[in-house]
Amino acid sequence: MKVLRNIFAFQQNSGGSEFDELMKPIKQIINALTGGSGGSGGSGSAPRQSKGGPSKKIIFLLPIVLITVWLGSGVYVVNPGEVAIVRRFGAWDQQQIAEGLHWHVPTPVEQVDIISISRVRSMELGFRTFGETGNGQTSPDAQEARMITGDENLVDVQLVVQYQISNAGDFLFNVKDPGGTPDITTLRDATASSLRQIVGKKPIDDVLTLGKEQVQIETSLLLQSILDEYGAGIRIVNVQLQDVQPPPEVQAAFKDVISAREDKEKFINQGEAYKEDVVPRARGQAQRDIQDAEAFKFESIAAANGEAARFTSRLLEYNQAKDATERRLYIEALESVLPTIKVIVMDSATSGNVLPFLPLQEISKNETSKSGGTLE
Amino acid sequence: MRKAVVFLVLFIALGAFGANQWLYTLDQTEQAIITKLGEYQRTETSSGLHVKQPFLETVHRLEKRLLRFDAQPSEYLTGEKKALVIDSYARYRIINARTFFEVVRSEPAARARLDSIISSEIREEVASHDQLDVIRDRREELMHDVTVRSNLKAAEFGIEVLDVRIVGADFPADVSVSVYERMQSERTRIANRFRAEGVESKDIIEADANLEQRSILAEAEEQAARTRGEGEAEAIRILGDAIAENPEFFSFVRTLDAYKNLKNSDTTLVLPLETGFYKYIVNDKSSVQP
Repeated sequence: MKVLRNIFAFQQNSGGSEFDELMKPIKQIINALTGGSGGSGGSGSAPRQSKGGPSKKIIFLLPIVLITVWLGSGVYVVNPGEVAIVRRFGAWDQQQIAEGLHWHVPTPVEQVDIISISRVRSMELGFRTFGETGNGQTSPDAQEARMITGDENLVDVQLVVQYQISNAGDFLFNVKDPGGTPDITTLRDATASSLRQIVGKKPIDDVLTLGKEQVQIETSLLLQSILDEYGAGIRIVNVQLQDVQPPPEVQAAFKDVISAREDKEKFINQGEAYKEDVVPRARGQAQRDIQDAEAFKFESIAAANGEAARFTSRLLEYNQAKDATERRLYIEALESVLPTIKVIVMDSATSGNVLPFLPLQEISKNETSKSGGTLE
Repeated sequence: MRKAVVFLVLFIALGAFGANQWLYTLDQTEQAIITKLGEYQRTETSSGLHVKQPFLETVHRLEKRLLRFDAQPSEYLTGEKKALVIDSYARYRIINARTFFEVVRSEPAARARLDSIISSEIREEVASHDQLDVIRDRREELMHDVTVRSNLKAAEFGIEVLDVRIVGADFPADVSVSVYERMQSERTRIANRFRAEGVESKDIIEADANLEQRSILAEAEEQAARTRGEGEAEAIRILGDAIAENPEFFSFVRTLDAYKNLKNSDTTLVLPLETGFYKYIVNDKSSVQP
């Protein structure tokens, strides 16, 4: 496959005509080998069939063509963001070949691995995505996701590690994975170990809520140090916690804690609402009471002033004609009052001895008085 | 012409065979033990093209890369006799090819040896720690100790153990129900605490509000009473000043006002005939003149 691609690249870069030149004798060889008697081999039938020049030509061309094709298979292209590692007889000279068109001594002598160092790859832990990335469906891997927290609770963690190949040589030659060439087993082992180590230090509430960021950072650092120790040639770009949940068996209890936290807020808000309601009203009421008292004060003073003024002015007039005024006021007052109430009048002889007539209340009701009359 | 082809083919075949016997390549990831008729000759660790004696010497290839050993999860007892299922893996490499080749010869055999070494080291370490130490507090130390001691033992067959890591330390399956129950009861505790704290805060806030309300009102009452008192005092002073001019007249006028207040009341007055108002009813001359 790679060889074909290299030949194709060679054709593109060296012009079509040359490629046709290469192809012509190959076709002739194929014709010579298959188009003849179809017997035991080409060597037997070729001389008989080709009496003229072409068969001789083929014999000489054959090795040349084979060598040319072989040499052509050594052409390879390194795209931007890739590096190539060339091994001669299996040995690597520590050189990384940068992007561009290159040639190596073909296969038995040298071999090439082209590795992308710019592509960010990702690995999933605790779940797997099926189908196209981006819209693929995920399914949890409960075994892989379940871990113990520092307070001996269980939690299911799903995480994605994004990584790049930072050193192609290290990546290719330092670590053997079960898949032979580096697969992600090393990374998966190290990630599972470091994540569980970090989560194992933290209480479950940290892992579930505010401590996620910290878990990501610490896991990333620990993971990188493990990979560096292995010389894996992998650089961790990012460790992202996807979904962190308590086990399904206890999720209801965890949800209840969340709603309890909401309830707490609710209660506090209710208290605040009561306070917001009561205190301003009290302030209003207080102001009302105070102003009422002010009004009362004002009224009292005003009334007193009025009364005093009235008294003073009446006194002024009284002083003009003391006796006359006194009599007049007295009579006027009694005149206005006495007609509206019950009055029993008796002479002084009997008035000294009022008791016999008691209870007066009854007497006045019966309106039977012997020695007096009602003024009505 | 035919001879030429036959010769060419023969030449290539012979060349290939000869090269195969004289030469060998080692990949970047390989090292090799060379034996001569079964006897150790030398170790070749550098990769590339190498020469050997044809037919007599045999090349045994070994890995140069870091290798993985994945232990099966198995149950271990902690210091306080609690069971933990520990899943671990190790990373090792062949550092002494000759010893490795002579003692264990192949990777599968090496893994079997590592398995027994590592699991016994883990067993010993876990048994000397409490559960929380294994899970949380002393995990790194534990892994480090296991690594160091496994490494010492593995050196006997030419292996360097770079790292033994605990992937997971989990509760055994039969314990998980009680773990769930513990988790649930703990959550209930926390939920109750939240709710009770909410009620607590609510009560505190409402009590504060009540205190504030009542103190505001009480202060207002106090101030109102003061103000009323001031008003009354002022009124008393004003009236007193006025009355002081002629107290006699005041009591006269004021008494008359009081009489007027009897108006329309359900009051019965018993009056002697000599009262000024009635005195003319009996005697029309004598006491009219003052």
